[in-house]
Amino acid sequence: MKISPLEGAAFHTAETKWLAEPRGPKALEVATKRSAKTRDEIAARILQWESWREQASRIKAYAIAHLDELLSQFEENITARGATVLWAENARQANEHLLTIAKKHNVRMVVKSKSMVSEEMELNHVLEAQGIQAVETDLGEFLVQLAGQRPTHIVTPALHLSAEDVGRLFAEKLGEPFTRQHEQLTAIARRHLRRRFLEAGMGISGTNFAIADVGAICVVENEGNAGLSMATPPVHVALMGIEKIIPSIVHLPLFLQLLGRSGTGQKLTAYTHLIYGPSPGQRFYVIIVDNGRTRILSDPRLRSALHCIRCGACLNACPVYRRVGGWAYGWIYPGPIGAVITPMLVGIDKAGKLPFASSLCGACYEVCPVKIDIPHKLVYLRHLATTHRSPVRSRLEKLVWWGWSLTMGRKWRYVLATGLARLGMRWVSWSPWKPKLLRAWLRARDLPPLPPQGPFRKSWKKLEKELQISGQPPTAQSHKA
Amino acid sequence: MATPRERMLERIRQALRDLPPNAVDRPGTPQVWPQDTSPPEVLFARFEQEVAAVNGEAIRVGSAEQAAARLRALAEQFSWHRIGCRQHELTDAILAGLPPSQVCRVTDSWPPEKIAELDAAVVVGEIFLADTGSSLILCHERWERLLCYLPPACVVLGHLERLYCHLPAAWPVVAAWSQDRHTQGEFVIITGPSRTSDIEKVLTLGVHGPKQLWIMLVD
Repeated sequence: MKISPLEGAAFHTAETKWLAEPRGPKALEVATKRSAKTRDEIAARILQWESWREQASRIKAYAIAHLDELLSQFEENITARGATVLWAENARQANEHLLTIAKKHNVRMVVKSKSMVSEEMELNHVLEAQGIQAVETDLGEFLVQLAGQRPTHIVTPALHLSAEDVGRLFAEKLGEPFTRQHEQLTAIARRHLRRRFLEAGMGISGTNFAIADVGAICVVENEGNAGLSMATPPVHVALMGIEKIIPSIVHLPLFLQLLGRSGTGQKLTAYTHLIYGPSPGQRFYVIIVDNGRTRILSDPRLRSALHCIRCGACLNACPVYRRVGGWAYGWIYPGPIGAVITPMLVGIDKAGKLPFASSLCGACYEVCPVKIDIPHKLVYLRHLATTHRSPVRSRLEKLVWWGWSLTMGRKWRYVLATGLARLGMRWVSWSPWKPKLLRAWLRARDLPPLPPQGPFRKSWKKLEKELQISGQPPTAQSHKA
Repeated sequence: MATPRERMLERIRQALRDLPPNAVDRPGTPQVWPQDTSPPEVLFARFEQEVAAVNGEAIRVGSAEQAAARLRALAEQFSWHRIGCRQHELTDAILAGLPPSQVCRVTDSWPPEKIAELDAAVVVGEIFLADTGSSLILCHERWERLLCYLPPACVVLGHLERLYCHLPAAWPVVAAWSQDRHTQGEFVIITGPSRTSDIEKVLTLGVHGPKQLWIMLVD
């Protein structure tokens, strides 16, 4: 499936239809709730947790405020260790760099470990268009690649697939006998991917942290696929967004403590790789990618969104994400952080609906290990979406708000509108035909029943009269009674 | 004509022009965990517990001879016929107790395919962390890195004196190594065998790297 930023994160699309089905969101909700609970328990046990968040936030603020200096320092230091650093202003330039490297080293197959930047670049499609096979090696990414789908979560991409789905997928695409046993499914993936690691001419990884003062990158993972992608092929290319920089090696342990615990509930992930340039006989490239990040940087109210360490904790905590899943966000960054950075990366004109995909409950801020104030950023982006060209400024939207303002402007209009609404509700519950939008809404819900005593103002008037007779002032409690 | 590098750096400077030069102070070394001065026995007990929690096994041995005996027992139990290792005083001392036909000294002439055929790897850890059950391994060469990931079982050897209470306590040593401009390759911190929960959040071991992990610390 071709993923294009031009799809523009419509939030509610045909791909979310399955959510209305009884089984659809259940697995996602159970898994995300379990992850959120584990994280909460871990955070509650650590007395220093708030101090860690505060310190991490300060380190990231410093890194972002000195981004130009630190990126230059990182480049100088990692180049001294034998790496080649390339700069890409956008996805097109990053892809050009990769294709040039692939051509230079005569690469026909690439093994990839998880990298969100490569998703931004639509790298797999670009490589395949040039006849280079790109194989995702993270198990979840491998599954969604085989299924021709998109990841639904940034940490666990195949959260929406059951063992049975995976068994069927392996039978259909790899010709393996059907099984739903987790051990066997994992063994099949190991066998198929092991061959790819050994055949590939290039390995591509993401970067969790780029350490400026020593010139090293840090990659964390659990499966060992990143370790294999970085060391088995003779060429390793690491992709990094400009915001991945941290000032010093002394800052890294704090982020490692926070990342594992926030993302997967682990004290440390199974593998933490620190790469200090190429091993002898290997070539190592780092591609530093902007691709819209400087737009986020230039807005002081959004700048701290670049502190994100991609742990996925805000996704697990978000009541909206738990119900709708990752696909509904329309691009590669789902959940609350996706609702902040996607409109800035692809443009508010395309993804202006995303900031509205939030209840603003604040759970994302509370769990964020680097204290990104996501709710206030969402409110600010809502303001931008309503004051700039964006999908929420459609003619229909304008018409609805004009009607709303007209209705609320005079008492009689309001009374008339609520009377019509009551009639409409009666008609909807009685009529077998319903308008399209309402049909979708009613698939998983019932309309609230109309109060038998009529509208509130009617009972309030009645109550006022009764209380005037008895000489007591009316209150909300007396109304309920 | 400006290069992409120059344009990106200029764009960053422009984006940050509202910030005064010293708007954010450079943070020092973060305070992560308090100092812990527990004796080695206490640290090892915690290490053993944490390694078990991540599905590995920690073994403490009094001497290289005892370590060799444990390794022989493991090789017999799991039918390891080809055990890969690198030249190191610790591996040399311990693997001397195994039949020479079982021991494969891996060098840079070994292609990855050959390393993948090994039954087990024996590697040397430089630092061990009690609170997470982790081992830090320095891999300069590509084949040293692959020895950690390709064989289905891995034994990490090390000295008990290199066991630290937690990552921040060991970090000054790592930071000093990192400052050396001649350092190349990889430092890898291994915390349990290769794992995934990508299918229905069910934990499965050995998805790409070793399925079994032992850490043997010599007094």
